[in-house]
Amino acid sequence: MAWETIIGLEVHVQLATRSKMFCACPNVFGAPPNTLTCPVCLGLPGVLPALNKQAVLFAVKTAKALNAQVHPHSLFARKNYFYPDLPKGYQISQYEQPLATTGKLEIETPGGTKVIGITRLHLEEDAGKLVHEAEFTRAGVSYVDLNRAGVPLMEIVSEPEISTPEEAMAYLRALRELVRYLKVSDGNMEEGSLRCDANVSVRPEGSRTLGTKAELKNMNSIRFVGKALAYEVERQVRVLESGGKVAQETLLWSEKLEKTLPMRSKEEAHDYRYFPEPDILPLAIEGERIEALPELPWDKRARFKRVYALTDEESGILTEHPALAEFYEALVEAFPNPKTASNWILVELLKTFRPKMNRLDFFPAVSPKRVARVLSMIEDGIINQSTAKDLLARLLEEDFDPEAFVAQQGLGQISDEKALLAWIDELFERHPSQVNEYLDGKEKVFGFFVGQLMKMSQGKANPRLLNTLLKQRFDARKPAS
Amino acid sequence: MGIEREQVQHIARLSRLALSDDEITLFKGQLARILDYIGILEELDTSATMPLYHPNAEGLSLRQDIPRENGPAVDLKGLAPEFDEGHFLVPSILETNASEQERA
Amino acid sequence: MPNLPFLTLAELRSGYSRKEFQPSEVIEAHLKRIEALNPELNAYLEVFGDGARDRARALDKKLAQGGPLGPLFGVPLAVKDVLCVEGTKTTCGSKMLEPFIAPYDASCIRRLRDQGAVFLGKTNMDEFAMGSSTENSAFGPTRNPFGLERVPGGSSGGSAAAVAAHLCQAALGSDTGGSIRQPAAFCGIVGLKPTYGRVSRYGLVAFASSLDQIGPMTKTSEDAAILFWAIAGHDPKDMTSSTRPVPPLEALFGQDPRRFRLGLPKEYFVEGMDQEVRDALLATLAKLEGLGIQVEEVSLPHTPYATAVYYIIATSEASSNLARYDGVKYGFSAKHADSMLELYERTRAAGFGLEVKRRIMLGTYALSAGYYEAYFKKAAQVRRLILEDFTRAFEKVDAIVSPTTPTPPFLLGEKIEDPLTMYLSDIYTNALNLAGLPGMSLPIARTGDGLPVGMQIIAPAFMEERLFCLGRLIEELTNPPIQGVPFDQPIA
Repeated sequence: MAWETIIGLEVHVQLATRSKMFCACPNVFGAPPNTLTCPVCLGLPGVLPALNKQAVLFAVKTAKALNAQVHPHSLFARKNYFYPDLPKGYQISQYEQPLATTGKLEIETPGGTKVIGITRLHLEEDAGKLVHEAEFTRAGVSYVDLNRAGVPLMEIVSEPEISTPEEAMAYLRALRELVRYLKVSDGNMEEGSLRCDANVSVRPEGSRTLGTKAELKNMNSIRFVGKALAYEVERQVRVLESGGKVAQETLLWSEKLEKTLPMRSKEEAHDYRYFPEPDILPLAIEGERIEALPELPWDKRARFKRVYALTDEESGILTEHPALAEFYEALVEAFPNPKTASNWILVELLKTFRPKMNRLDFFPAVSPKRVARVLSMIEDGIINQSTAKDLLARLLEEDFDPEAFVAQQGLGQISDEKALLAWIDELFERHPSQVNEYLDGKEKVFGFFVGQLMKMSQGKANPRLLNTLLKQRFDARKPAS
Repeated sequence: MGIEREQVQHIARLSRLALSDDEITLFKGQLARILDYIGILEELDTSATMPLYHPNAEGLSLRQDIPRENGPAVDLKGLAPEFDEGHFLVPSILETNASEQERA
Repeated sequence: MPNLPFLTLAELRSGYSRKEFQPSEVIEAHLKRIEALNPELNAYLEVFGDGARDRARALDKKLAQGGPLGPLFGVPLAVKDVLCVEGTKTTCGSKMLEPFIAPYDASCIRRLRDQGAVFLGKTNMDEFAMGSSTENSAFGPTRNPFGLERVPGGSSGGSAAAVAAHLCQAALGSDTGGSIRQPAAFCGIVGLKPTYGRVSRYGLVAFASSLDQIGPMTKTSEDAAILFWAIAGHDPKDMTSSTRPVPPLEALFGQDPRRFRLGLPKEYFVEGMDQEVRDALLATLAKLEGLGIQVEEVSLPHTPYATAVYYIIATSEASSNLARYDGVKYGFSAKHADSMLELYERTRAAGFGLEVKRRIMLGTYALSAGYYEAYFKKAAQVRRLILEDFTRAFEKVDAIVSPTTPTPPFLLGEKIEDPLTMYLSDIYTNALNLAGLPGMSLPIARTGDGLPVGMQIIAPAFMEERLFCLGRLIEELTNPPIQGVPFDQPIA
């Protein structure tokens, strides 16, 4: 039987505000435990929430970019449950009347562009953390750190319109890219600023009823989401094909075991007793409060393809982070050869940029103007490619004037015909048999001569000129026909 | 309107209250009486009435996103029943955690 | 030298400005009285003896330096133990918070402190403000100064008794369904529940967030206006606090109440209203009519539903507000729990009293799956109908008048076994909390047994000045019965 997979994703995005959602405690990662706490986020008796304006604006911006309907009035709600990382015994979230509904996100699939519906987008506060495996921890004790309690989250729920693990990964990449473009989150899954839960079910192809879904948690990278979903789909199909039933349950992805494991239920069936948060009046969102959106990733990608004549892949990579796209455009402005500029970024610079591109504040560690000057020197025949590579590697480490450096260090390529011809003649004398091989028609030997000559010139010979001169010398030795 | 003993026990569990048998019996009777009294609301047709959750709601003034200085704002050690190594301590919740299953 | 604890705020102010006495003398006179009378009344749970003395001495210096004095300068206040005062115990009358020392000031406390007020101590209350008699305190009941075998009302019973017995100049209370006005009526003093959103709730330990308001409990309407004025106004820490400007103090008395039209809700005259209460109200209204004030009947047709709505909404919000008392971060915590579930259940079972547990249970039930629509949502809908009743009535009248309570103060133990009967003692007060309206109780008479009878005045939202103006007029007419309480003798 052929099976069809149905996936819906719930993504929690930590917003890059400076302070927490309801108090002025700093919203930063990695501080000593419980130092980023105050009466409000500790849930002390008598405290009240004071909603962060920036968090609202970030959520509205994202909703707009997702083409979602932002509601003029939305309500906060309390989600009630007991857990030691939840200081008030309830989480402030949104339930009825969320901030926005019915949006969409386009993803790239092997079959082309696909639109995934967004069910809702709402604001809520994060919980604290429970620590178990540090040097200081004792068995039988959970250690509660409330630094994260009250950090603003934006929850984005997709329609169950994702059909493969690959699409789920593409959806997450698109969403991550979007929040980075909007500068509302660094979208870093490893540090937990982007978290994903998945609802997944399978059904016989063509069936109209939905299968029983399982909820997947604990997948802290896009790759793990792909692996976990692939494993879970296979598991469900196996269960169904052997005549069993899929249980409606929450599963945790274990990266170590590479499988999903049932989470033993925290308590009896959840009854969150949602009700409107009395401490926060209805949130009114007026149109004029919302700033204009920046160019969104999909628009930028289309423009790059069109204006710079790039491939899908090239424009896709160059627009992955807004700072990289900005870098590319600055480079092209100073060195108006878009294709060459793209090649140099993709081949030489990206590997240095990549590890830092998961940060919102990523900024290329080299000036695009400097890079343009290096590329111009190649075009002008002043340096060759291998010198250019060395220069770029150095420029990533420190800033300097590339032309001055080339002149000073004598890195300019050798375009002196006399010198090159002298090396060719010397080489022909040393390797008469290879010369004859070439003249007998073994053209492969040509490469050997080029290599030797580059070595003799310490890599500085102008390769184009060298080729021409080498050919001339061989031609001169060919017997007249 | 009556209320079953099991319902009272369920509500006590949701409320995280360990009730004695006597308390459950007492509350079963009292809640039943109160719910019976509250039942008069059924007389009213409210199908066209918007619920009122916030009296005098005239508009929300939001907080500017300005963080306070880093560092603790409250002496937690003096406040907390159990506190060590900068953390609040509670009985382990680990039996519900997958990391334990991984070890097993 | 006048008998200092018996002064009003206005008298205190003029005494200070004429340098007839200084703050430390005033504070000392109060502390002495507290020492003598509190053991019997149990109005105060904690007295800040040395703290108040230190503060008074600092104010003495300020007084000596001269300069303008605000109306709160050197005023000795009692604070209901539901408000956080930095560095002091804030128990809410509960074993749950017995170990809790508040690490911050409530916004109204901060404001009063900045204006020169001196806090004498924290007053007794029903646990987490749940009750109408102060018998639900974990630290013993407070007694009514007008009859020690009687309750002072609740939940702000400690504050009411302290004001009535002149153990402070004025006090702060909190009112969720009548918790300022009912004890004010029972103790023969003035108690104001301001408009919802008029006073910041930051630092008020929450009972029911959409109903709670902090308000003054005082000897006169004028004192109530002064204390109200001092604590009212927007606070960025409370998003439900209104940004409307607060009128200047003089404007709070700027209206002529002889021009008012008063409404008397016909639905309030039901079975259960004590005859003496009824007579006292009608006699007062007759005197007002004698001054040319029009009194007419108004209808608040959803009155019979208010108590049901109130108990659903108040307990639902409370069940959530009280979830934070879990033995993890502060307060009481059960020892030797083997699991998280056990820690929660044993902490909350031992830390909360019976009435609090009962209300948490009721609220949890009203919000739980399958019941939310029938209880919580239904109550919120009827809540709007109750508000609309008042809106319609205020199209015709400037203020509404009623008894504050159906009966005079009852006996200790009389109603404690029967929660529903106890709940019905706030039938005239809780509808205002549902509608967010301001209401003030003031004493108008004494029963044959010498017990105080209170009258409630209700105004449209943010129109507290009508209450003060009318209150002052009624005081002139009725000669408030605060004189002659059993504790009226100065302590030598």
